[in-house]
Amino acid sequence: MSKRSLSIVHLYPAEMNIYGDTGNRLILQRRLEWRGLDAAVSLVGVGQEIPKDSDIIIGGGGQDAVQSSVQPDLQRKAAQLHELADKGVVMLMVCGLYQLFGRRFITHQGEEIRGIGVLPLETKASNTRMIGNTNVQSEWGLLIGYENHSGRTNLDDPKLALGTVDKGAGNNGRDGTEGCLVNNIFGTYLHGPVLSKNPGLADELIRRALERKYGEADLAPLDDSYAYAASRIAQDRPR
Amino acid sequence: MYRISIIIGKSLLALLRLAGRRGSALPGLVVERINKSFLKKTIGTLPGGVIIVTGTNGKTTTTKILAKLLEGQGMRVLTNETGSNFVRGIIATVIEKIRLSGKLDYDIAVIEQDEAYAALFVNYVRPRGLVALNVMRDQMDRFGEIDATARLIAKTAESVSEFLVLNANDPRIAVISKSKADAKTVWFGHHEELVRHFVSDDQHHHGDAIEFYEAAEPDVELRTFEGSEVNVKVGSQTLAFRPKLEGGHNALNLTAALAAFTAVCSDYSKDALIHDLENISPAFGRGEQIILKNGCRIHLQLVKNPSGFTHSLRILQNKRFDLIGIAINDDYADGRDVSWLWDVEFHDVAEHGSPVICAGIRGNDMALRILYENGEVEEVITEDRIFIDKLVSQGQSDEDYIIFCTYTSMLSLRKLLKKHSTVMNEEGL
Repeated sequence: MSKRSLSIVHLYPAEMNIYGDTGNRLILQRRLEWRGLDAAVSLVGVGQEIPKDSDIIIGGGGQDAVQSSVQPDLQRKAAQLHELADKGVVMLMVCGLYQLFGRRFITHQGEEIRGIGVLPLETKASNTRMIGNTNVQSEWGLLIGYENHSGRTNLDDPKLALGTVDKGAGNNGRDGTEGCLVNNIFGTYLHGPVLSKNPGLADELIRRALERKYGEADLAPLDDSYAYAASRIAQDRPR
Repeated sequence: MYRISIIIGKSLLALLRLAGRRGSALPGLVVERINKSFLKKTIGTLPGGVIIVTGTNGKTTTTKILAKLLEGQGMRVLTNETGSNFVRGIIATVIEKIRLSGKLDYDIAVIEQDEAYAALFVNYVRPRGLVALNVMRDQMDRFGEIDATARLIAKTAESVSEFLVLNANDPRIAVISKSKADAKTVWFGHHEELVRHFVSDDQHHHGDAIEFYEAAEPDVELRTFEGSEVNVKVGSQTLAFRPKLEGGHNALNLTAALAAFTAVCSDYSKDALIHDLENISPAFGRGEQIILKNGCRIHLQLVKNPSGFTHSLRILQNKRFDLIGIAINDDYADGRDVSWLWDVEFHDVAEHGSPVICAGIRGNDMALRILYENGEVEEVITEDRIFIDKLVSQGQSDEDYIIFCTYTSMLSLRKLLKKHSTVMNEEGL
């Protein structure tokens, strides 16, 4: 029997990689390898094609200056990303790409920057920097991460949040929601990187991708003691 | 008001010392509040003016080199040796060194300044010159973006009265030459052949093919640093010397300091200059060695950001260490967000083959990072006291241990190591 494998695609690894989010790719790759599965990693930048057989697509945050080159390219990829999303491809979008996966971003000047509308949300620039250690109640336990954004994201429906904020601002500092989860599209403001201290979430992405590709997923448990120890300490650190 | 500030400042300093608290900037904080013109009336009156050294990596070492080179030429240089580089830290340094009478026995000040605080600092004192080394991803949670950091340094440059010393190979620094059109610009940089040793921040993160960027022909240019001899072109002549400071990054720091030196001194003793270039030893926490009573040598290396950490780890390729310690704290000065560890390349640690101990408040996060690199971690010890006790109890006289640590972890570990060591470095432990 040939080895099972998943195709991991990292979107805009050069432009949108500002807070260690590249680590999410390494984490997914290793968690597959440690279980004897293959991880085929592809890097897709501006002007490059997303592989049709993508199983998990991840993306991170970037500097404002760079988002101006990414946004038009993302528009060109929009149709394909919608198609992949409808087929149930697993996606994890953090910070800047989380915002651009929504319908639009409204700047301080009131200008509208179009997103690709895969996620039912909009983001508005604000003067408040929402930054610090963040704890989020979710289906996979307490998610531990670090947020750093000034955009306020509003979900069309708060029930579509990834989780509720226990400590921190979350999507907008007002309604207690953090992130967004629709079908297999996960969006969040959590850096850390988010999968590092949340191995349950990492395995959720892997499980959904395997189930979609092979009909079932039987993931052997891994020794995540360092992740849990790191998570216990991080959750009590000052905001 | 000015004399009262000195008295209050010095009293606070004495009280803190009695309480065993050295290195506190509290006296600086207090004086900053009560007397806004303190710095202007003190270092602002020095005949040689104030030179600011800023940038993401290399500030402390470059400041130390420049100060030593100027001292070697007979100047009395006021500098903030221990790298306390926020405004209140500078004020605290001045309080320590000023006489009660208000007299400051110095000719010139060379001040290391944090990239963000330099822009504030110039509101207190107008600098004669600015040395801008580089802009790299550092504590993202404070600055938000490296372009914003570059803009802050450019703002600082606008206040300069005489000269700018700029890195010709860093485009974000090079553009600062436009900030003050009437200032003299002295360019420093490295020769194109050395480019692979100095991968830029963008290249480090994008994994691009390595390209060479040069805004202008450097006035002071690093030519080679193979073996232990460094060659630097200064104007029309070439200086050759064998410095104690090792590595490519230090060769570039020496180059930057030389460039600043030429901006300050047009007339100098070349013999004294070469002697100083060869004898400067590592600054606080930058490759210092502390020798334990049992003879074991502990090498301390400060790490602050992904490119700096990755560069520092290269020493593992050339030198054998019997134990690797990595101590990560997340206090304000360390960077609260530990995500940056995932932008550091740790294969040198995984491949070195020696036991790895992860320490500091976020030691578990560091261990996690190493595990994902398919490396092994012997132990995580988050209590510094227990960590040092372990190193002391197992260290042998012929062994070399290296500890990579963030800022507050460095301060804590040094203090603990002092109790077990026989050798003090130049600044004293």
